[in-house]
Amino acid sequence: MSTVLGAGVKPTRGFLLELKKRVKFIEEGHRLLEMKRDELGRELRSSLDTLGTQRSELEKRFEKALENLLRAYASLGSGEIESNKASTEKKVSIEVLPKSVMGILVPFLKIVERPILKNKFGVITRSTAHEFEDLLEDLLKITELESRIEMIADDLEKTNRKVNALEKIVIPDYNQVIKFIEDRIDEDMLEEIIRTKLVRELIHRRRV
Amino acid sequence: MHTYLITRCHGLITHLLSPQIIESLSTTKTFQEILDILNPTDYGRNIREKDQIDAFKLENIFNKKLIDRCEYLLKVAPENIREFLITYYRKFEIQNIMRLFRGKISRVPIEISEYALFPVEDISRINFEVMAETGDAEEFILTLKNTPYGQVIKSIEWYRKYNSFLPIEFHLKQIYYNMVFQTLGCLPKEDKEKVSRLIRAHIDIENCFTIIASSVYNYDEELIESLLIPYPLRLSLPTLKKVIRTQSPQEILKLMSPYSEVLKHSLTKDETLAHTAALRLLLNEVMQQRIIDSMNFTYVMYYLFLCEFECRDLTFIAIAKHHNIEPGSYLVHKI
Repeated sequence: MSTVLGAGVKPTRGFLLELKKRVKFIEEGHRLLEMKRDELGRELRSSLDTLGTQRSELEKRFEKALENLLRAYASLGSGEIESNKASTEKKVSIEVLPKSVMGILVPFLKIVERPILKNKFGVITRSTAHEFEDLLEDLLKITELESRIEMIADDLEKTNRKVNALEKIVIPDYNQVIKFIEDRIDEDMLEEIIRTKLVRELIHRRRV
Repeated sequence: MHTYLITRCHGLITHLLSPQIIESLSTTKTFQEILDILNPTDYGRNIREKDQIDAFKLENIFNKKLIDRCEYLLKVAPENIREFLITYYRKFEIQNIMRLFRGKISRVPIEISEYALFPVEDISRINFEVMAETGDAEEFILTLKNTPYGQVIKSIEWYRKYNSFLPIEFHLKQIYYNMVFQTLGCLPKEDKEKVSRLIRAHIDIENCFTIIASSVYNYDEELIESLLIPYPLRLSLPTLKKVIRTQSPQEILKLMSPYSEVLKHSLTKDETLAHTAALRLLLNEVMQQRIIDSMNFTYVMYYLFLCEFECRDLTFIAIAKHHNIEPGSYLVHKI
């Protein structure tokens, strides 16, 4: 019999009890995984909705900021912009930290170092620099959300696969084995009864 | 006598691109079209000399032409006027110094060619190559010790305190305007006041942009106050100091009403448009002077302003085309 248990099936009452305990445990796990799958699905849908809104808003702001940067470039000329760019000492530095959401490790982005813009720039460049700095945090939030979605979707797929495997393969297989053992035990019991009857009859005949 | 200089300027002004040409440049579809339109103009020879040309090379050509035009006036100007013009042209020198200085702050090595410096070798005694080779910002400032900008060394403390190039830049500008006002005495009496007015209008604009940084970009009040350039035209220093402590946009616009056209854009953080509005305002100022009398030195100033504005408009168009900015945008930013 090819089952999830392989060749280790023992048609004994003890083994049957052990299997039934195991199936109960697996069914409980299946129920929890189903709950997790539903919750992940809900979380994914709501995150996708948020991403859709935030992303289109950010894209609009980004386009505007880029247009302003290009206008600034054209207005001041390349020399002014390049030299202003060269005057920025500190660059952006980001730390990626793990954060657990429903047991899934999602990245959490933290700005460790950012360029200081206050008191730094002259006309035109300061407005452009501030505009991009405002975008930076929102850009990181979107990045965080996108990778969170990616990881939730990945985990949802895995959970779904587990739920399906339990539902369609593991639990039915176990039930099949249980049924097989029960049948075997019934069969053995029946044989035992018949054997007892025959022995009783034989003893009875001898006495007579 | 400077009559010859003024007469020359009347002739030279015909070499500037007409508004129609600027407009046709604005509506071109490709970069090659820009080159084709510029080919028969004064820029044609410089364009033809280069094999491969892009927006940045074109920007250098425009800068070169601007400096050539300025230098030509020195050749035809009488001694006294020449002295004033040489001082006036120091604004390009200051821009070059600042471009190099900003690059020194981050200590990231950048090729000098990337700063698109004004080619002022013939009118400036500053050696930009030597400055470009200095190790850091403070060493850079020290190279200015034996130049007319030696006083700027005093601003090192401010530079250290705020770790910003602004104190150095504005100290250089303060020195520049001091020198310009000193050489105003070289001009004929009747022109002195008119030219001074134009320069002070420019200072007003500089101060406007400085002052707004306190309320819009939260710059330190103490720093802003130190950056103000004296000799304003319409905005007195006490008014400007009052504006530094004002947060309400309405109040700022009221206190600085002569420049409300500029400030309304600045307050909404559209500084490119504010900058264009400021340049238009300066153009109006110089045009008013020209209408009153086209046979005095203000006509030379008018010509110089037009040369600078043409350079800026052409640079805007070339770079905007390079970056595919929609043509409507050039017209909004055209001076």
